[in-house]
Amino acid sequence: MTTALDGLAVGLDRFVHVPAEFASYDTSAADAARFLAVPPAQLDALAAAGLEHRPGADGDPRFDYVDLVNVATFAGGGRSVPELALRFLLRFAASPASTWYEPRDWEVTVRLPTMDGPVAVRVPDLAADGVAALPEHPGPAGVKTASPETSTSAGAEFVDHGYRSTVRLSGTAQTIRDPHVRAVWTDVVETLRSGRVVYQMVPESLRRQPELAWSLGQADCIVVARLLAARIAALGQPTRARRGYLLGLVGSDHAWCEVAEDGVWKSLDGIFAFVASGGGRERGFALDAPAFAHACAGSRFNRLLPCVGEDAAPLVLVDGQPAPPWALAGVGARPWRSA
Amino acid sequence: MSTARDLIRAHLDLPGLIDRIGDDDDLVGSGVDSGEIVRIALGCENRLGRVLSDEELTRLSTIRAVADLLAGAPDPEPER
Repeated sequence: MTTALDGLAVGLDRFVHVPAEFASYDTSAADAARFLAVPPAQLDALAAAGLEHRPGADGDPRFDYVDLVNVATFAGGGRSVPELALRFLLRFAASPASTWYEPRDWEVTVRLPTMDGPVAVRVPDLAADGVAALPEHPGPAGVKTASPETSTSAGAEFVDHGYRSTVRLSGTAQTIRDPHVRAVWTDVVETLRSGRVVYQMVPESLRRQPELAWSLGQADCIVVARLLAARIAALGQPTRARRGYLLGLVGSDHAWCEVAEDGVWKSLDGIFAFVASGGGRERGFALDAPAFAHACAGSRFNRLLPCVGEDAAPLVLVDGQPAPPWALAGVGARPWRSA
Repeated sequence: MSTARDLIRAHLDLPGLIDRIGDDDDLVGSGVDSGEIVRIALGCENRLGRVLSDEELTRLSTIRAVADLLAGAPDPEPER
């Protein structure tokens, strides 16, 4: 058990802790210990080693959930759920390039988290390039709803219930021509590779200020997508940050940037590029897929299902506000074979 | 199918959930969360003694799919 604790303590130094003004110290010691799979008593040692915490109303320490995720992620063993999920979901990057683009049919199921307040979840953007609803599941906005009377109207961004949708995702190999956009891209990806900015989980409140998060040395896919979009927009190029699901073993919340060029939207996925060029080593796995990393500058992949929404907005709302980081929608993804 | 159910049960926070899931039901749609799915996939890799391919991972969404994957795998060693 000491070894496990030592590993977690090592992880403390590998990411940038959530600044206090963006932190929510509301996770109890018992919940934190359960999440990190250490005995409650050993959490005290981790706190003493530098894991940020604040006293709760009862005097017991409270922790920030995002910090806990990052501790687990950077423990170095490659066995935590975040580490394993990233490893499994990006396994396709090591496959032949043709498999990144060929049309793939998916069945996606979305189950809402159980919360005290009303929950809403974004619907797939079936009008996006490379996305097509399959005819087996017709319906408003292409979303098969749990009950017909609660069907979404065309153009709706949210539904208040789980749904099932079958879609065909088609990728395409593209490159960015504009040298100024390429310079922005290169700077962001090289900064991640240098380690000056750490790829880690960032709280939703800080994600809203991507340049600040970047200057603080922390970024996740949402920060990078918004940062790229803001910097490319400053060049006068039409651009947008997108958010949706990376499909594979499960569906995982993911964000990327798109830029309009040659009459089409081209994708820029800075986190994929970073991870595919060895950036996952501190997360316990090494992926060396330079061709895939290169393709991330312009290409669209058949694993990304964008959702309707502006500026990579949160996928799940509770009481009209972004859901807390632990309240994720359950998203299943599996190959779909038409009858 | 029992081998697959045993493996899945071992990775659920609420093991009794497995008894309410049909062989062809979608695991996530039945209440299995993504963290549990990830641990089930890792359990399959450990049982088979090899890394799962991307295609195998994407198919791992039902009890039957887990059973098909584990067919022919060596018997599990006792937990240590």
